[in-house]
Amino acid sequence: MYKKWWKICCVLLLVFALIAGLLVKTPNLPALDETIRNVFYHVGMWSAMMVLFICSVVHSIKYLRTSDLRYDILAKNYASVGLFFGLLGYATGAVWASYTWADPNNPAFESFGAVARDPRLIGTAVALLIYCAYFILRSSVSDFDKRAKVSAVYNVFAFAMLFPTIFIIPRILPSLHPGGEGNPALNFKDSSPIMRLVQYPAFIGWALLGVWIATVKIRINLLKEKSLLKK
Amino acid sequence: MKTKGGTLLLLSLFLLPNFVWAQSGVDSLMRSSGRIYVVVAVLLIILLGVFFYLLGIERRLKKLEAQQKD
Repeated sequence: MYKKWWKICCVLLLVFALIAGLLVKTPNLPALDETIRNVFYHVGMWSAMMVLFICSVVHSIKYLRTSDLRYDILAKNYASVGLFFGLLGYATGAVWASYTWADPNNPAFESFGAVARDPRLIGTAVALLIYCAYFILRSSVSDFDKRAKVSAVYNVFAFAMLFPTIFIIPRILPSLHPGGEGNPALNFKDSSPIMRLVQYPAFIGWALLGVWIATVKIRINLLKEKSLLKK
Repeated sequence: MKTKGGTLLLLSLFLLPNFVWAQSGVDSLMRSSGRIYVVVAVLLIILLGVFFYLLGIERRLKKLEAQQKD
């Protein structure tokens, strides 16, 4: 949390992702044209979210094993920043889609209802809402030990629910959202070797940024707790 | 604190779709007229702004943490 090297890495990776992401030559994909560049940013949000939720559930499990409240603070802050990146991913996806596969001028577009019923959109919304419920659960319990225990258990289930809602069900059902065959982030048919050279560092950079923001929040939280205990 | 950066990031995304219509995707009109560099510069300023903001928060945190240790 206090080391500098990975934060410098994060800055360099994201600056690279931004400059190279906008200037690199992209493959000529139908209907997407240059917007394929959003892969570096929109999908990066999801990679950040996944990394943060993994950190969160690991700390939740650590809390359940040791009952050390520090892990509860860690889990909560990772989950909150993860949720934030998930919402950003959803918003960026909404903007991107409204110019591509959800564009009313596009022949494949049927109606807003068809877009709203898209399995991937619904699945991701459900996953994010489950994490929203995690915070509502936290605020409903006043005793901090009980709160930590209950929310740690809920966190494990919330993390487990990520997989059927985001990864499994959307791939079984037909969808207009790109990346229908397998993982949309890692699909080799949708990108080129040059794009992949920018894609993977970008994903790592966004994940590091998410962790950085989370660690700053954690440090603020820990300071507050310590000052409360002192008093 | 974090929503400010999030809003900036979100708003900066609205810049990108505006340049899709003008070209067919092989080698963009954006690059040939040099306008893409403006987009790169703007977004870079936003990104570096977010990093300096984070850095500022970290510095203040370090001071507070050092104070608390005493």
